[in-house]
Amino acid sequence: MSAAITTAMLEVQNIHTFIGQFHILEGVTVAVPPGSITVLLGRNGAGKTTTLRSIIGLTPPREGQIVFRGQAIQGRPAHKIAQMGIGYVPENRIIFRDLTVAQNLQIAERKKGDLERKADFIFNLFPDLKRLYSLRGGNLSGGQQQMLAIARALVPDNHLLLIDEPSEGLAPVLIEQMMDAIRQLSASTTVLLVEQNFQVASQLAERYVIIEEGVSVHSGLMADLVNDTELIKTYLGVA
Amino acid sequence: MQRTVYTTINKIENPALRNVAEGLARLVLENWLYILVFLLLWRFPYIVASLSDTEVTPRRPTGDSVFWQSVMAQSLLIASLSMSYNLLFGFSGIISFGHALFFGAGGYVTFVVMSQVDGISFYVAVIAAVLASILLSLVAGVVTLRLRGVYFTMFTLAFAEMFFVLAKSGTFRNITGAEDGLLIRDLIPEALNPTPTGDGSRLVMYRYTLIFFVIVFLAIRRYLNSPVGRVMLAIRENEERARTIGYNTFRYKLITMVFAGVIACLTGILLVLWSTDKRIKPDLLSLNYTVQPLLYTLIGGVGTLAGPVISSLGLELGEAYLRDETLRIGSATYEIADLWDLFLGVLFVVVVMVLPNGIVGTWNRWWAERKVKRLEASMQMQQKPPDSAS
Amino acid sequence: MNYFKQLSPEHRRSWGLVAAYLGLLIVISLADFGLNTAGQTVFRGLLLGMLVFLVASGLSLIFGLLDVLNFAQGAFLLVGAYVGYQVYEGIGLGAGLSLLAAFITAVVVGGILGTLVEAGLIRPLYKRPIFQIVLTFGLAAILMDLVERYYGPDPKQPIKPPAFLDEKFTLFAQSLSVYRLFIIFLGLAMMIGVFILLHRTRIGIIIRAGVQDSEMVQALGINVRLVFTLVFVLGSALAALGGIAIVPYQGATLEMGNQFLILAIVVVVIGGMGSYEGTAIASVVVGLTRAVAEQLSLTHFNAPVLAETSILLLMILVLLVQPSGLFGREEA
Repeated sequence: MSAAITTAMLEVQNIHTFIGQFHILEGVTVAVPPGSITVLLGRNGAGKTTTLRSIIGLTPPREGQIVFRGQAIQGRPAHKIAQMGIGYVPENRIIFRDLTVAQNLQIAERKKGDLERKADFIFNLFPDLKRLYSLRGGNLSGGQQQMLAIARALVPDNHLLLIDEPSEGLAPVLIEQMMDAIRQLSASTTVLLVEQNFQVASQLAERYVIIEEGVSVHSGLMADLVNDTELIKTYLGVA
Repeated sequence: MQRTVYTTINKIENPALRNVAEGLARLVLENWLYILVFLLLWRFPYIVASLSDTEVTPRRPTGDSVFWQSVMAQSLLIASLSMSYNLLFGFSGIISFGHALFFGAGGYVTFVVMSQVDGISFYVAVIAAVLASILLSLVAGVVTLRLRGVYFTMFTLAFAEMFFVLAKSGTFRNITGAEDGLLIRDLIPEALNPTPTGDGSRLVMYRYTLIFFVIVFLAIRRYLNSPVGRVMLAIRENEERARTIGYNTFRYKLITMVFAGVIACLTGILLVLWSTDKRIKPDLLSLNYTVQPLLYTLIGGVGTLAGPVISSLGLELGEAYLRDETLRIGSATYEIADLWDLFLGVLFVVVVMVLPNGIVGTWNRWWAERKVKRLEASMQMQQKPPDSAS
Repeated sequence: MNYFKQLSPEHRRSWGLVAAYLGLLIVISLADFGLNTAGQTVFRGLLLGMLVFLVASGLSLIFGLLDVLNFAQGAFLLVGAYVGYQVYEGIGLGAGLSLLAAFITAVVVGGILGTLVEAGLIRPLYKRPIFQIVLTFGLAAILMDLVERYYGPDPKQPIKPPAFLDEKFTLFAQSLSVYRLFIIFLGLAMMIGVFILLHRTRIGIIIRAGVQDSEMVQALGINVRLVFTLVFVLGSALAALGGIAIVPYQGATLEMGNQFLILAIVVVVIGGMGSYEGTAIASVVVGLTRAVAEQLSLTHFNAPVLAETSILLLMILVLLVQPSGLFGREEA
């Protein structure tokens, strides 16, 4: 157990988060080992997105600890947490619609030249973006916007990516592309994923954490979960 | 005390009489503080008279009692205006920055009608003013109540400000008197003229004003306890939810706006009657009469019944009392009258930053917390005795 | 031109509407007043539009980014006008230098005031947005009151601009001071300057991104609060600049603050809260509407005050037809 703590990239320990007066997270614990893809599973409204937002600091937890690369980060302002090397890809592919694709990427630079250094890597993952480079973000299609949202998180050197529902609302062909991209980028970056689509999640992730009504109830290796139909049925409602 | 009263009442044999007595007792026991305040206000001219050794009725030179009747009456009217503002802001979540429009419209419509229509009665003109304020509320409400909050706020400000400009404009000089205003001395009915001219009409007018204030207070309290008022409170808490439950939130907000507008209109008419120069001036429509109730509402306590009243009376009377004093800081002396608005502004900012519930709201919370603590303490006490008893 | 190519269809339609409306105004003026008066009217409208823009751009940007409706913008204008006036009167360096000093002081004082207000009063209230609105409104009343106490209730006479700005030129058969032309250019320069800031600089891109979603900007590792303060300061400084710019040809009056606040409100409602382009174009629309209405009501009814109602009617119309304004946010 103690060995796990020291080796984890991110250690979320029993956090409680409130939104207004609502107690959304009532004890979530997640360990993300470096170099892996971990997925948060659970029903709609279970608290997966809030967990990601608590980590990045947009909805800071009221109790519990979040340790990122050996440092407690809970309670710090979001921009400070991001600067430590965490990239956030929100759900519903929130890109800046009034900015061009180029500007959407430039804004994510933490030091000058970030984008230049990463351009090849990004365009290799998402070749479309090169073609759309000077287009307004709002004029992109849904899939293109999702690619841009992920690409934006790749501009600075991040140790960890938080990706919320990358496959939501995408056509099957695009989902394949997206999964490919995530697999490729996970070679260099640790990923914590939220994914409703169990097919996608099971193919991508090595580890899983199940969240049920604001509490993390189960975690382990994806390879074990895939064979545990009982567990899947109980918590995820898919057979 | 309460228990003894009710046990005494229960001994009454006649059931009808018992019911009456019980109702009366409840009324007195639940409202004793209000009743006490009312009696004090009713006797206020005499209290001041005996304290300052002056006469209640105006004889020249006018004494303190006569002066303070006017101050208190005007403070009560500002308190009424603040209550009507709080009805919107505090109880309905409608942030209007155009409240002065309804206030000023009262005086303007009443006396413009009287000066334009020969021989029309003052009371008919008042009815015209009330109708006008209803119309204005409806127009403002229908245009904007469906809008997002900020747009509504901006619209009310611009809408009211337009009438201020119209009232000042030279174009309508022969109707409104433009910047100079309209002299109304001869238009005020004798019975309602509080000017100290020798008879006792000021004292009568003071009582009318007090009664008006009480009616406004009771009407707002009644409104908040009515079905419409309850829905309004629900809308303030969560408009989305109230709408999903099936309430037509727009209609309720409109009703509330009209209600608050009418109160402001009547308040405006009365305040004009009390004015010393007996003129209708554009100032009545200026932002002042929006800012003032807003400040008093926030200082006293948003969404509390007593808050705006306490802050209005306290601060208006305080200003009148300190107006002629000077303040010495080191070698410099300042007239309090010059510093008062600044003081009010700073007080407002401090209250907004530090006491979001205002004075009364904060007090209520503190009181409630204390009660809970006491209750908890007494429950712990009660849990122990059974041990010793058994 | 890249800008126009990338417009969303709704905005393209809005540009068309605006162009048609402005064209209509000019045609009406030409038909009704004849060339000379029409020209003068349009000139007056542009002048007013530029001044309103200086107040409205702050109102719109601050709301767009911070979600704070800053009712103190009018008071900032008033402070700029009076402080600038005082500096001009007090400094005695000759018209040119004194005016320059007045402009600089007004802008700096406006900026400092903005910093104090944002950092001291607005920032602690981000969790209580209604109180922010109420606070800026109350603050405006306090500031205006202070100006009245300190400078007295009487209007201040226009100050004399330096000779090269005071020269006369003839436009549409009317002799006009060069200073008016200067204001129009100043307004245009600010309009374009802020546009370039918003579109070409990193800070501007951050501001535009923040207008859409300031949380997301923060999650990218950018200290949004710092940008909030910056925009608030920019807005107050622009309003103060507008204030001092008015003084040389109209003097300073206490009513100015509210007058321009109302005009600015109409502008942002028409242009769409948070849209910079909308604010810029709506300023011109409001300025021209007001000027043409003034001229119309003067020639036909001898009642210039009706112009006041004209812009309000325009605002009501826009609110009813398109509550989010011509260039409002897409999701609104």
